[in-house]
Amino acid sequence: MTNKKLYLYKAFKIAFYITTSIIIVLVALSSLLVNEKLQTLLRSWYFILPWFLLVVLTIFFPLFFKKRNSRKEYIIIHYPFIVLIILTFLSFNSIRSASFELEKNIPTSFDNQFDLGLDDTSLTLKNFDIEYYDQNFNDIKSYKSEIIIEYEGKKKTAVVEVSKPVRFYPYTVYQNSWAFYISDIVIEFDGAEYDLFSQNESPIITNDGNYFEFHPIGYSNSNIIYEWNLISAVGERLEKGNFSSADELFIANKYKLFLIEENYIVNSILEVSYNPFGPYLAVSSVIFLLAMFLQFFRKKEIDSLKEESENV
Amino acid sequence: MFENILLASLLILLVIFSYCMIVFKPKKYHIYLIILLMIELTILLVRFLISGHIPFANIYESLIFFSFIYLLKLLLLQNLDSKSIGFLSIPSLVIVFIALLFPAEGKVVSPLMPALRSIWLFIHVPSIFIGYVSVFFLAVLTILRSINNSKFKTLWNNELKSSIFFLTLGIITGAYWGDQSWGRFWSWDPKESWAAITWFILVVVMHVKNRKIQNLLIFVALFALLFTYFGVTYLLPGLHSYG
Repeated sequence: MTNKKLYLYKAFKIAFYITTSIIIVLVALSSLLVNEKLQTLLRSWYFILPWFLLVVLTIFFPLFFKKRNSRKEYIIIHYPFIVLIILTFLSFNSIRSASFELEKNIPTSFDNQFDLGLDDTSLTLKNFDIEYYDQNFNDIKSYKSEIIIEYEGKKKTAVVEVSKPVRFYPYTVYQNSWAFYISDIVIEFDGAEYDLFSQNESPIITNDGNYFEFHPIGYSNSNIIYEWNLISAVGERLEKGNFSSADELFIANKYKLFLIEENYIVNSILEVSYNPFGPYLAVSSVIFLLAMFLQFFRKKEIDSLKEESENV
Repeated sequence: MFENILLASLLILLVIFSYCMIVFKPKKYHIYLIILLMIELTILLVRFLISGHIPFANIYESLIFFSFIYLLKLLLLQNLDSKSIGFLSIPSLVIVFIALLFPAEGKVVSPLMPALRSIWLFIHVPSIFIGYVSVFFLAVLTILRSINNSKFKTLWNNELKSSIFFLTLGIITGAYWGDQSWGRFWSWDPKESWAAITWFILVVVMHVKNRKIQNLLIFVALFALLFTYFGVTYLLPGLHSYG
């Protein structure tokens, strides 16, 4: 190798180490320090620059190899990595998303306000449900929405669930969360009616001085699940149980209570994201993994460092 | 209680195993490793039967799973002398010790959160842990290689490649899973950031020729991995705070 080429080779190596170090340090600092400027830096062109340099170095490094085989072995793993980086950058810059709260049977249209380009698209919530692990409604198993998607003149019904998004390229709909809005709940006890959401309403007091507390704890089969608590005069919880919107009558301890009026809305909160490079990113990452597997685990191992020192 | 007894027994047996391997160097040790693995498997099975889900959904379960993968890898290692196996078994001892000391509230069996109920749990988590195990192996082999380079060079190189490959697989499958669950394949979450840092350091190790710098960087990578595993969960908030 000529002196000039040797210096250039060493410069490439040093540039690689410096670039990688900058990336590592920036990422480490941004996760450790709550600094707005640092967080903005990660989303700015200043962070793109070391990556760009890394890509350039990686593309041109094979010029130092004398043997074609060595160059080929280098390219097999490094060039898919470059493609992955470029597609990741393009994806980061093009991805957009917006959150929508859908009320049942009310179509939600997307206009330019959300900057998604979804002018002729609407989502309508048909049904929303929450699944629990047990009848105590303590732990949520999953929650999902049945929606109607109108897109480019087509209509399609789909179920979007947590970790099971619905895709209509280049858009994806995710189940994000939900919201309860209870405006009225009237319970009849011992001949008297109690509006639980009324500010001036006194609590439901039993003959022996205990009182009831109620609060919503879940939603299942299109019904709100409430928990009742029987509290003693000294504030000690004596007993608790559940009832739902479907129960007109429920037995709490020895007392009969009637749910006579209830008004509520349960909305589903969905997120729609636009990622045109998603599928390409997926394919390129699979190719990169395959290339890495072939390079690392073939029987005939090529020690790239040794080869590099022989051929440079 | 039963689980703690099993863990304590496992720890004692691991200490005895490591000591005997280093001092007495028995040639036939595989049966002892299988017994240790059976104890681990029992703990994992019990948790699976109680919770109804694969037992690596929180930090405590992941520690047990980690030591299981570690011992399994140790069992599958070939062409290595008993003394080296003894030294290699030390990290699993430390992991089981940490698991035993875990507070009771962290050991509670709980159902899976909705976001964790995905096929990617079975791909992402094991990939990451195989990568983690490889990094631990790499750290011990780095020490052994500094004593006898020719004996451990090939295994060291293989472990480096294995760690990079499985961490890459874990990071990429994690990105897919993030896209499915949260709508973003990368959000600079502290766990993601530190996994990427660990990966980058290992990639630099692969490109560096100087053995002293390689050795130093391996321990830097190990520190980054430990921070990814524990530091991020307990010190930094983020989407991955499932511990």
